[in-house]
Amino acid sequence: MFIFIFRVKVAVRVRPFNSREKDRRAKCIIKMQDKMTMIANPDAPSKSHDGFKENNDGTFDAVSGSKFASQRTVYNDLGKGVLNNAFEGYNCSLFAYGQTGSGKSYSMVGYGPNKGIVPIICDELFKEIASNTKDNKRFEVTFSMLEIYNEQVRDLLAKDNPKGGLTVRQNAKLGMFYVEGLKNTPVGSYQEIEKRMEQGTAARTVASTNMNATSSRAHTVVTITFDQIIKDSIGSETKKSSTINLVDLAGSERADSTGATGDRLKEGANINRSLSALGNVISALADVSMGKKKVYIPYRESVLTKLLQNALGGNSKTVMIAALSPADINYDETLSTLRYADRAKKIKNQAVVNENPLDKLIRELKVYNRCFSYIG
Amino acid sequence: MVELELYLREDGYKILSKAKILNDEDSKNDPDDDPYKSKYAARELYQIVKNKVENLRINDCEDELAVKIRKLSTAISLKLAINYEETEELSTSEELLNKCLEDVEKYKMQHDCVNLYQAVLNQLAILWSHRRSSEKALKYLELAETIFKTFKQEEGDSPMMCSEWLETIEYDEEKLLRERAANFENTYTLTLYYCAQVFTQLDEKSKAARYCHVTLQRQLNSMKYDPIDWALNAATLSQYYITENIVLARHCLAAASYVFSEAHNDSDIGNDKDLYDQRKADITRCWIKYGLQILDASKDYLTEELADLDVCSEAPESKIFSRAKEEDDSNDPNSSDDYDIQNISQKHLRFDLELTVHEEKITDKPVLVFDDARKVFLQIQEWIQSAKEYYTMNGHCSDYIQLVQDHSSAFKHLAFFELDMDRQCKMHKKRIDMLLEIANVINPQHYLLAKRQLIFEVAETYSSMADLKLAKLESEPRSRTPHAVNKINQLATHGIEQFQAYLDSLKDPKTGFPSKLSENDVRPALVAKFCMGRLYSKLIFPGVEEKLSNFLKSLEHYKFVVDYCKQHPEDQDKVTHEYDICVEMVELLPLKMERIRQLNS
Repeated sequence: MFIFIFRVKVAVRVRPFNSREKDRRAKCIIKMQDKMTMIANPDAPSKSHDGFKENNDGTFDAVSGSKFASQRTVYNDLGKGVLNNAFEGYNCSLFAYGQTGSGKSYSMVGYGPNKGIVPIICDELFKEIASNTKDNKRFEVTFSMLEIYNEQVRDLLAKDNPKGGLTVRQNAKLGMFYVEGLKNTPVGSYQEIEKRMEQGTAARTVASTNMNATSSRAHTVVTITFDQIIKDSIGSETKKSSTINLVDLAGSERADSTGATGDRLKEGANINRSLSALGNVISALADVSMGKKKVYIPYRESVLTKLLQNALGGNSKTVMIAALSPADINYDETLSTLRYADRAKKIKNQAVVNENPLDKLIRELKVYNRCFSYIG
Repeated sequence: MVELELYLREDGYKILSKAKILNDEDSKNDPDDDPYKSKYAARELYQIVKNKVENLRINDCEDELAVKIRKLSTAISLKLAINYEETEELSTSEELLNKCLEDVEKYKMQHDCVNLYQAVLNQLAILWSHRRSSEKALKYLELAETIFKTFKQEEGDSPMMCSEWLETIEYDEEKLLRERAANFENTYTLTLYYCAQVFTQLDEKSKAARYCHVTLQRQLNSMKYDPIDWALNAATLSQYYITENIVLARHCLAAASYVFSEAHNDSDIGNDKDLYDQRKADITRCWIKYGLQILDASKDYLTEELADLDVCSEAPESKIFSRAKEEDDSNDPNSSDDYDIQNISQKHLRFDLELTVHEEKITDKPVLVFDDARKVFLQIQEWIQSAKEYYTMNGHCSDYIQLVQDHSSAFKHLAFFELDMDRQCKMHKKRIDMLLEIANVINPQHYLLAKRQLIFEVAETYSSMADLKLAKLESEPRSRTPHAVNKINQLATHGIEQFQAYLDSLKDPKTGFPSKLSENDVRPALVAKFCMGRLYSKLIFPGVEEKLSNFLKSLEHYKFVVDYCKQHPEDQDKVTHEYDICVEMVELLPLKMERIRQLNS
C-alpha cells in the first residue's frame, strides 16, 4: 500500500466553530461517523456529498468523533504511539497540516491550560523516565526548536540568528541532515521543556489574521532527542537513540513554493504562468525514470524536507494530523485537506507542478527514498 | 475619437496604471485576512474605465471609433478576466474571456489585435486547466499556435502589443518595433510553455518533452534567461532523454555545460557561491548518469547483436540508440515545419550553440570494444571526482554515497568489456573496497537504507568474483592450485557473510526476522537467500563432512525461498526465475547429497 519505506498514519481532527465562523453564522458541513469523515458541499448540500470512507486498509487510522475530541484523547490516539516508538529506538515524526486556524497549532502545542500533543508527549516522557528503577539505565533528553520561514532556518531558542539563517548539513556520523549551530538544550524535566517551548513560541514569526490570532506562516519544528544509555554487566555502555520530530506546518492556503509566490495552490491542475517554474515541468518528465536509478534529477529540495529526512533514516514512524474547520465557509480548503489526507496513503507516481507544502514534501521524500530503496 | 483620446490621456491611462500596480504589486502585501483587498480595488478601477470607454460609443454603427472602443474594451476585459481568475471567480472570468473572443473575432488577424487575441487564448487555457479540463485547454493553445504562425507568415512579426491599449508608450520607432517583435515571440513562448504543462497533465511525455525543449530554445534565442537556471533545466531534460534518445541527451548536456559557463562565479555572498557550486556539481552528476547509460546500453546492444535478437521490449536500453538513429535518418516532410512542434524532428531540436568542445568529451553511439568503453569510464571517473568536491562525505553524505555507487557501477559496466578474467576481478575488488569503505563509516541507524544497499552490492560483487575465479579454474584445469581454491572459498564465504548481514539488517529488534516482508524488501531478501544457496553449493572442500554440511546449508536457503513463496503466493511473481530454480534445487540437492554419502561409505 505504501510507496515509502516508512509508515504514515493519517488522522483527521475537526475543531469546533471559532468566533469568526460563529459571527458569519457558518453551517457545519463535517460529519464524522464510525471511521468516516464526510463533507457536504455547501452549494449543493443534498446532492453532492464527498464521503471519505474507510477501506480495508483504513484510510483514516484514528478519527476523532463527532463530539469534538479533547486534547487528551488526541494524545492517547496519536501521541502515545509516537512516544512508545521512541522508547523502542525508532525515529518518529508527527506533523500537523491544514488551513490557518484549522487547529494545527492547537493540536500540536495547545493553548493555555489545554496542552497539545507536544507538551503531553514531553510530560509523559519524563514520567516514564522517572518510573524507571533500573540503575544500569540512564536517559538523556535534549530539546531544540526551530522555524523555517522563506527557506531560512531560525533557532527559536537563540537570541540572535545569523543573516540568512542557519546552515543545514549532512554528516556521516551524526546522522542525516542537521542544522549547524542549532542549540540542543539538555532538559531534565517537563517543566524545563515547557519553559523552552514558551520561549520558542514567543519568538516565532507570527502574522496575525482575522481567523486565528496565533497563526503563522512558518513551519515550526520541535526536535526531541532521546538517548537511553544501558550499561551491561561488564560496564560497557550501549546507546539507543531516537529522535522525535514534531512539525507544525505553515497554513496550507498561503503556501509558497519556490518560484511562485502568492499563487493559490491546488492539486496540481493549475498551469504555472511563470517560466521560472519550467524546471518543475521538466523534472516531472524525467521523474518517471527515477525508479531505475538511472537518472539524477537536480531537484530543488526544501529545507523542511532535508530536515525531515531524519525520519527516513532508519525504521521510522510518521503520523500526520489533518486539521479541519467544520464550517461551510471553509469548504474548499477543508476538502483539499481531506483529499490530501486521503491521498497521503495512496501516493501514486504523479509529480505535481504546483504543489502545496505537503505535496512537495512528500514528492521530495519519495525521490530521496527511491535513491535508497531500490536494490538490484 | 478625439473625446476618447482626451479621456485616456487625461484620466484613463492614469487609472489603468493605478489598477495595474494594485493588482500586480500591492496585492503581494495584502494581509492574510483580506488577501484580495488590492485585487478588488484594481477590479473597480478597471471597471470604471471600461464603463466610461463604452459610453463614449456614439451610435450603434460599426465605424472606426466603435471598432477602436471594442478593441480597447476587450483589452480591459482581459485584465479583468485575469483579475477574476486570480480571485478564484472562474465563471465570471470565463464569461469575460469568451466575450473577448467573440468581440474581436473579426479583427483577430489585424496588427493591433492579434497579440490581444493570443493573450486571451492563453488565458482561456489557464482557466480550463484550472478546472482540470486539460483537453479543452489544449484546444485553445493549439489555436493560439496557429494564429501566431499564420500572422507571422502572412502579415509580419511585430504586431502591436496588447499592453499598448492600456498605456502610452514612449519609445522611438526602432525600439518600438523591437519591443513588439519580442513581445509577440514571448506570448508565443508562453503558449508553448503552457502546452508543455498540459501535455504533462495528459501524460503525453514525448510531446511535453518537445515543448519543453522548444521553450528552452526560445529562451536561449531571446537572450532572456538566467544561465544557471537554464543550464539546470537543460541538464534535467537530458535525464528524460537518457531513456529515450541518447543523441538529444548528450546535446542537452553539452548545451547545459556551455550555458552554465556563462554564469558568473563572482558572487561573494555565501548563498550564491554555494548555489553556483552546487548546480555545477548537479550538471556533472547528470553527465555521470549519461556516461553510465552509454555503457549500460552498449552492453545490451552488444548482447543483442551477439545473440542476434531483435530489439524487444524486454531489453529496452538499446532502443535509445536506435531511436536516435531513426530520427536522424527520417526524411519526413513534416519535419520541415518549424511550427509543428508536436511532430518536430530531432534536427530542429538542436540549440543554436557551438557545442563541439562539450560534445567531444563522450560519444553518443554504442561502445563496442574495451578501449572505447575505457575512454567513457575514465571520463565518468573524472566527473565523479569533480562532483565529490561539492558533495563531500561530511557535508552531503547521502549524495556522496550515491556517487560512490555510481563509481562502482562504472567499474561493473567496464568489467563487461574486459576480456581478461584477472583484470575483471581487480575491477570488482576496487568496487568492494570503495563500497565497504563508506558502508563502515556511516551511522548505521540513520543510514540504514543506504547501508543495506551498499552491503547487498558488496555481496553480489563477491559472488561475481567467486564465479569468475571458478570459471577460470574450469577453463584452465592446470590453474587449480590450493591457493586458487582457497581464494574461491574465501570470496564465496565473504559473499555469504555480506548477504547474511543484509538479511540481519531486516530484523526487528524485538520480533526478529519478519515472517512477512515488506513489499520493497521481498525481492532483495529472497534473492539474497537464493544467492547464499548458490554460494554454499560452490564451496570447494575435499572432506565429505564439509561437503555435506555446505550442501545442507545450501538446501536450507533454497528451501526458505520455496517455503516463503508458498506462504505468501502474492510475492512469488517478484522472484519467478529464482523460485523455479529453488524448487528444482530442493529436489535435486538431497539426491546429490545421498550420492556423496554412498560414494564415501
